[in-house]
Amino acid sequence: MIRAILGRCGIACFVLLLLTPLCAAKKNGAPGMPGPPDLLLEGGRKLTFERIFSSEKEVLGRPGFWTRLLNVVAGEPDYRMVVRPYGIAVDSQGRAIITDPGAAGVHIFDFAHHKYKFIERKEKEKDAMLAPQCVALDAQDNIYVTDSESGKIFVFDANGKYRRALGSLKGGEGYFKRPTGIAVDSAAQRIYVTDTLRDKIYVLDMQGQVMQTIGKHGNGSGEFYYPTELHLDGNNLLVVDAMNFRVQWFDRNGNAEGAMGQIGDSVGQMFRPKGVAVDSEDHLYIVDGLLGVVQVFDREGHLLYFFGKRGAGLGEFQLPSGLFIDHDDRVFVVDSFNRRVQVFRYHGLPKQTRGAGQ
Amino acid sequence: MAGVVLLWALPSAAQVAFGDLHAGANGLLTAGYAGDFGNQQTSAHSMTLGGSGTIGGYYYNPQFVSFSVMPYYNRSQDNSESQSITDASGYTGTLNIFNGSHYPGFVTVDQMWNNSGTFGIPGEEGLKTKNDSHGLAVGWSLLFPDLPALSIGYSDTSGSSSLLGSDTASTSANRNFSALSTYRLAGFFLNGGFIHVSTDANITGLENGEAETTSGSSNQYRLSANRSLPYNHSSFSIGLSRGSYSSNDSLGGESNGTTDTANVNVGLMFPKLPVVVTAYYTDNLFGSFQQQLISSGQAPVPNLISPESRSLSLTASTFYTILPRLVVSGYGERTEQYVAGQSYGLTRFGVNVNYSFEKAIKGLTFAAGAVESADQQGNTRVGFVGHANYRRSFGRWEVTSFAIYDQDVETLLVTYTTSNLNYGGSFKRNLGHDLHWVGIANATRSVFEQQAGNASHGESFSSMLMWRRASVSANYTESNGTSILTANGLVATPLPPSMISPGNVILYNGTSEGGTFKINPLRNLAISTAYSKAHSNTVSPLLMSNNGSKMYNGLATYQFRKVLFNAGFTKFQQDISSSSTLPSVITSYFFGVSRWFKGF
Repeated sequence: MIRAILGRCGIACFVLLLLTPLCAAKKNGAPGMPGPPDLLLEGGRKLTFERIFSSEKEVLGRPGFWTRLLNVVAGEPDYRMVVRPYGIAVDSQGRAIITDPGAAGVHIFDFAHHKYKFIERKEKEKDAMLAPQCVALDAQDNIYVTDSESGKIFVFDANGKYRRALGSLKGGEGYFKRPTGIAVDSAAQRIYVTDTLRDKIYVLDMQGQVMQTIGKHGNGSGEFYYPTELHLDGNNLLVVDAMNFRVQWFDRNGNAEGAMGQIGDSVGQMFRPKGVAVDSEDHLYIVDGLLGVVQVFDREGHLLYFFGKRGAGLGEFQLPSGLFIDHDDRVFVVDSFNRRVQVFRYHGLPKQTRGAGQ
Repeated sequence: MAGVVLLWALPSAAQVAFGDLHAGANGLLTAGYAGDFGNQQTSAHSMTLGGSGTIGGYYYNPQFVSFSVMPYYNRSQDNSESQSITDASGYTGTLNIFNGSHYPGFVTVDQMWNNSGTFGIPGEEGLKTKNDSHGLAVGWSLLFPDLPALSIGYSDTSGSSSLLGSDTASTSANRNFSALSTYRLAGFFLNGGFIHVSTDANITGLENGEAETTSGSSNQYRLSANRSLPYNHSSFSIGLSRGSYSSNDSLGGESNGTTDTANVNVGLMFPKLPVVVTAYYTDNLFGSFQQQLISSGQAPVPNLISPESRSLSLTASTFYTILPRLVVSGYGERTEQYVAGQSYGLTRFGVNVNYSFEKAIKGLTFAAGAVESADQQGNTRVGFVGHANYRRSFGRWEVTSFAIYDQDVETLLVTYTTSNLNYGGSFKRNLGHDLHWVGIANATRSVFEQQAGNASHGESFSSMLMWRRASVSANYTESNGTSILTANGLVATPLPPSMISPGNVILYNGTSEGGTFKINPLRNLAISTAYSKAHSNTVSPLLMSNNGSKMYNGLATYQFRKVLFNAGFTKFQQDISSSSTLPSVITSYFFGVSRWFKGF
């Protein structure tokens, strides 16, 4: 009898323990953790940490009274989280669009309007999207996603509605062997796609017809060994030439104009170059997946500074991949293995003082 | 109360950490109602309430110390002719230490309390029972490379049950200790160990106020060695074991003994003639049987015969491939036993001849084979089997079909021939716009040749139409033939009807038809309905029955966030002419809700 009573009391205590929020306990990876200190650069420039995000819940903002009441009664919804994010782009409305091969879909985080959307097509009979890799946007904010597994490019409108698949052959297979990097030139109506396994860049019209190819296998100028990410910068097309451990740039006609980078596992060198982007001062940002850093170079290839290190804390990365810099110089880094996106802001010099400052 | 519970359940995120202690918790609360109504019974209503939870975590690292505790509580109340209340609660706790090291260990504790009460049984007072049990298990291993692996384990389980208001009660306890070791040495895989099992049971309140106490224990020492032989995957193994047991029953007396066994296996993989030879010896046949009973927690049987017994058996088998598809296999077996002062000997040998061929032409695959078996008493059976499969796509049609025929001639005691034919096919048609149509037909027919009027046959047809989140299906089945009644129901007659007593042969004939409709109109909402109707009749010299049944069934589940709702109904109508009762109709409804919580 006493044992039974003790047992019941134990169960009751357990239930209370189970249901208590335990607000005082420390939570791993909570946004309240202190961020990295500002990185002060020469000439008054600096790089500051802004935030991380990884879940639909963070977009939706503070819930209202009725939502909170519903959360208490029925529990919170199963918020979608990023699983294995890879590529990122930010559209004209400030929405972060993130490819996620682990979830076989694309996340759209709209912090301004507290909205979230997930695009997926993995269960479609025709043109299923299996492993979305990189993403690019056109002038209308249409979303272009490369699928490295199906060998196709999927096009969605700004609301995430499926429009078409480029490179989808009659039998259902994809035209590309492993499409990865993508860039869209809306003015010229051109789409640039990297086919990593073919060591080529395909130039397509907006209907997906191949107009030109750039490069071939090799390590010379204009040649590639597993090219991956692309970035359009003014008149230049930047190409991450991954296994040649460099970044090459081309003019819009595909003529090689320059390259920078050398193999190595120390600062200023490249070991696993991933995402590439350019800030408002024309500095080149390159993510290194294995070193866990973002390195910033000038166009002559001189290292200006770097940020990040391997780890799980704020400002630290594990297998970072995609990179995007928006018009406000906010630097979005996809921290793939940590399942999150980290946002920094580069505070450069005002445009009128830039010449003197440099 | 529910409101209070829900207010406690404020959402919080992920696992928490207290220093190096990391923990997480979740739980499930459930409640439900079910009601039954029928024309042959009074209505019954029952309510259930339950909860379960899990607290798990680790200290420093999951491979250093990890733990989990899983308590539960369930209660149900039934308001019917015989009202009842059941109440069950308990927990299981597990602690693992040094999981990722060379010396992992674990501790598991479980405890259960079960109470039930049944009232309103005509002529009986309230019946209240109480059952409790307790368990503890501890284990530890030493797993260093290049050294003998050692695993030691101890478990202790005990239980008690009692009928409240009476003297009837029982307790039981079971303890188990084992020490096992493995080691590789000079190409030998060595395996040795010691296992001790002891059981105790006590029952009071038997007839005449008697009590019965039983206790038993057994010890087993075993050693074995396996080795691959340096010739074409040949192998050799030897095993020795010694077991002793003793038991004491306050009503049945004492029993004890010792058993020694030895076995040897040799497999010589000659390229065309592999040979496998095994030998097995035990010096106490009866004791090995007793020890199996004690090891499984059962009471040993009394010694009714002379305990001296021994057994030696030798077997050898081989096969020879004459042609790529023609194989001859043979076996020989010699067994000598001494039981209850008598010696027995048995020699058996036999030969099988098997031939088969296979061919494939444009989606059509067919094969045939024959087998001939014989032993020292002569030819025992001749068999033939053939099968064909066809699979092909025509535009949006996918078609498959098959046919299997086998014929078997038994010649051992009585010569008779059986033949079986199975055939069928299926199609799948993509109608576009996510609309698919599937059809399946199968038939089977078995006959005892030269025995007219004894064929059994069955046919089944089904079809399904699927469109996105909805599907509708229909099926029809028909069968008839001869059968016999066994503990598992009616089974096809294994021997020609002339060899079975006519009183045991039952003629059967039945048809059934049904259909289902399933739909997921919303992402987390599933609705399904089903209808089935069956009609059958059985005829035997002693019984003739005409049976029919109808069933309507509906089920709906809906998950809203962490809450799962489910509800359903069943209407069942049954009519058995031989039971001399009116057709019965039972309608039952149920509704349940469960809420999953994440504590921290």
